[in-house]
Amino acid sequence: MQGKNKTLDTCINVLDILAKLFVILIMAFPFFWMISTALQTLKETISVPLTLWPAELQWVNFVEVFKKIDVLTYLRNSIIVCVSVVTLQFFVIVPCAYSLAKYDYKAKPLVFAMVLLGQMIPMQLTFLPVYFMFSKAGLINNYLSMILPFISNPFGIFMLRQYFMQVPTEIIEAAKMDNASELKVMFKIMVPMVKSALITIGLLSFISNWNNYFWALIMTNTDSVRTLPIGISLLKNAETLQRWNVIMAGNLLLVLPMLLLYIVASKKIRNAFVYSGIK
Amino acid sequence: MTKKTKAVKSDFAKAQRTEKIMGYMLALPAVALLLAFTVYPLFYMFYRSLYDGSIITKNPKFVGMENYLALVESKDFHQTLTNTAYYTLVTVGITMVLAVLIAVWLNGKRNRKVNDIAQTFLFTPHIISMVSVSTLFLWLMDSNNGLFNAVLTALGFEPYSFLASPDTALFSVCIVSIWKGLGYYVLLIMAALQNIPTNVYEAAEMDDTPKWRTFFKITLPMISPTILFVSVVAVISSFKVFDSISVMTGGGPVNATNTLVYYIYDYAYKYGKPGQACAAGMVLLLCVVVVTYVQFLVGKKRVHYQ
Repeated sequence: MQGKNKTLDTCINVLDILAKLFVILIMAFPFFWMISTALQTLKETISVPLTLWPAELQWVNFVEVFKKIDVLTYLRNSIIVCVSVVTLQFFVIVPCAYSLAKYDYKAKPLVFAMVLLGQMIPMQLTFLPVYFMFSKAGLINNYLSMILPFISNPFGIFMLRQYFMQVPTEIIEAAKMDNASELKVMFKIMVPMVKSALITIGLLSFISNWNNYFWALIMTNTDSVRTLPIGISLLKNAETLQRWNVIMAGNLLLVLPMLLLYIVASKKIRNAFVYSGIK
Repeated sequence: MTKKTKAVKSDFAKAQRTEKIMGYMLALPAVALLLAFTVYPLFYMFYRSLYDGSIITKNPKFVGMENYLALVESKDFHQTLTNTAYYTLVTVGITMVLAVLIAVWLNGKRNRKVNDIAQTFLFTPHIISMVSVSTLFLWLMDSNNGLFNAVLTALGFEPYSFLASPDTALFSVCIVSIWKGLGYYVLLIMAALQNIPTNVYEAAEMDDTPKWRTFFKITLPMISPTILFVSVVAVISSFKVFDSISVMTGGGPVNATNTLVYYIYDYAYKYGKPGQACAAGMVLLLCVVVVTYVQFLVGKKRVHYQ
């Protein structure tokens, strides 16, 4: 009886592993296919039966990408926008969150309500009026139009406020006794205490800005300020011959930094998303 | 009152006043940006929805509710709403059912090491740009040399038209969103599962309750507030769908994949009718507000249960 149960259990175990491997296959295979296609010759991409892995790795596809679109300009713009948003936002969200957590003033509920509203209203809703605004100010095709709307990161304010509230007020008072200025208290004492929250906010905002296609599409129409996601979609449109090997090579350039980041900090990134998802 | 206490009192009042001013000062930059990019646009969108004229028109003409009436009469807009509703129902429905099942499965005791690997892979597409994922699936769904049809024919099925036909295009876009988003919702539901106290299960284990019963009578009720909550998140993110439509179909074929945000974009930039686009934006705003209100009610309940 016992033996029979045990073999049944082993059978279920094997089936369980196979099913899980199947899930992994479904998630991983498209990525594998992208890499494989990116390294094939055009002939291999259209051959029947399909080519699983190229006979010879065609690194020349990447050269083709650089010939077709101005990768370096797109990359530079992506980096400028991402780095600006990630760094500049701290000078805006840290003071705001600190003020919401540790100060008392009449309009505080109103400020907090605005932060919640900012979290609720998606950019896909406000883009037209914001476009009009930037258009009037002559800031279309300007980095500012891609950076400014993301600086007052409402989720960041919300999360930091939560963290600041947990810091005992006595610590702040003790620092003030030693004649530390407000700004010094905030940046020298409070900020180091909420380091993990800052890393989470920075990671999430870097990922979402790197991947942001919609906003760059709305706010720009010349290549000199466009970011990499736009570049890749343009590469796809420019490929009238549908050379999928070249398109996938370009696509890899956009995907690789995120994949590398995920390989390095998988657990951290997942925890960040759990926090932002459940709050 | 002695001189000393008076001085202390005025010092205290002064400190209180500076504290108030400091509070405002610290919040000011964020508030200014939020006013400019969230609050003001909402009012301006309503204002602009009452006016005619293109993006470059200097003095748009006041037309009252005309833009809204145009939406009510527009067959394209009806189709857009139906498409958005279909996309939302299919994507959120399938994603949630799969996410709950997979989360419970991967949260089980069997083959723990594989569970973690599976979870890592499931989540990967979530941090990849929708542009990349859409471009990749465009290739996988290609009607001539795509992998999907090669596999289908190899297994003896008819090739599927995917994005080429109006009947299948919208569902194909849904598949992409499901594949990309599934891991995120699995992750959130697993977090909820790990918060269920283990002693809840001990009684069931003692009674030798069958597993499916434990699932329906204990697990599901315990995580149902989270499921509702993340469903609302998923619904709102479905309303926002744009990138995949823009990259994969451009709203076509024959309007079959035109959704709300893409419609707004098209009407403002392609057809030069920002007034009507803003009116459509107000419809989207209404949808978001209603759904967020539901989320608020659910959130209240969630706190109550905990």
